[in-house]
Amino acid sequence: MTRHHPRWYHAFRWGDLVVAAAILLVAAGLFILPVFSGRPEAGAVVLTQEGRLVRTWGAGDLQKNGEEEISLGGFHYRLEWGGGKIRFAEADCPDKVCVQSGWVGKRGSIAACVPGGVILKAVGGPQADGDDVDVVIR
Amino acid sequence: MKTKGAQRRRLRRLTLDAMLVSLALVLALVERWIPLELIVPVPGLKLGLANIVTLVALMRLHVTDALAILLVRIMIMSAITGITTMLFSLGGGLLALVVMWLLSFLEGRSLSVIGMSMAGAAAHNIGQVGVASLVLAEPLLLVTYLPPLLITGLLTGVLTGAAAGPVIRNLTALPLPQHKEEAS
Repeated sequence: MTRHHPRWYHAFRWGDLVVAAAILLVAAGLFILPVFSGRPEAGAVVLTQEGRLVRTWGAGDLQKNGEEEISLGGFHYRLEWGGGKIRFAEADCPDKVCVQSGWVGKRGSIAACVPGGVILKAVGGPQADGDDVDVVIR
Repeated sequence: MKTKGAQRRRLRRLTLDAMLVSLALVLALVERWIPLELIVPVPGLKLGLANIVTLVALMRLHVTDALAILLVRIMIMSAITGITTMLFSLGGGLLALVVMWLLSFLEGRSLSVIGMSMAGAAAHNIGQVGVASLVLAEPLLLVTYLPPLLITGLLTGVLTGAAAGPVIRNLTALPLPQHKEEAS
């Protein structure tokens, strides 16, 4: 107990900074990637379960307020929409990542419940010119 | 006599690993009660407290102990979280372990336990979201979920690394399997 008390920054080594910088770089790269492809305002939003299309909301549908309860992949979800966007308002899956993901509306935005295999994803609207949303991530 | 000694060491190692598994389970359960998403709204964000145990096992025992503890913890946790979540935990946990193990050779010289922990947190997130995007066949998940998790992982990595550091330093006083010669 009579040992000297090292300051907090003595716990670090220079390599820690390299690690942190590398992680920030990867994060920044992934963050910037979709910006280049542009994110026009809402088109349609699709709900899929394990690749199977369950429901589609057109841009017009999302302008009206509404909600729906749905059971998919063994879990129960409450979807809520309005103002051009939609979200998982409630879910009984274990981690609730889908609920935390918040609103989906801008093209390319996504909310996923991986345990249930359920994805809510904004895609090009009815007037979309054929460039599939999958291009965004390449 | 020699076989008896070896047996005792094996038993001690098994007991220690089992204790660390239960510690990791408690930490993993406790962190589920912390409503972190209310403070930092990043989907999927966790403190990664169980990583403290992995770090301690890696630095004070052996990589095989760390691996065994990790696998048993994930298998038991799957009883609570389900099979799909187990797959992500496996992807994240194994990738984090490999990265931290490789970095552990630099520890003490160019890297600290905190650096290992930060890299481990990032690897965990990459593994977890990677498995998720594979399972759902949706690479967009990587772009959406990974960047905020990587950045918050830096902070949680510093926290868990700072928590593991003193434990690792002070555990040298215990007669662990690695120090069996001095102990017996």
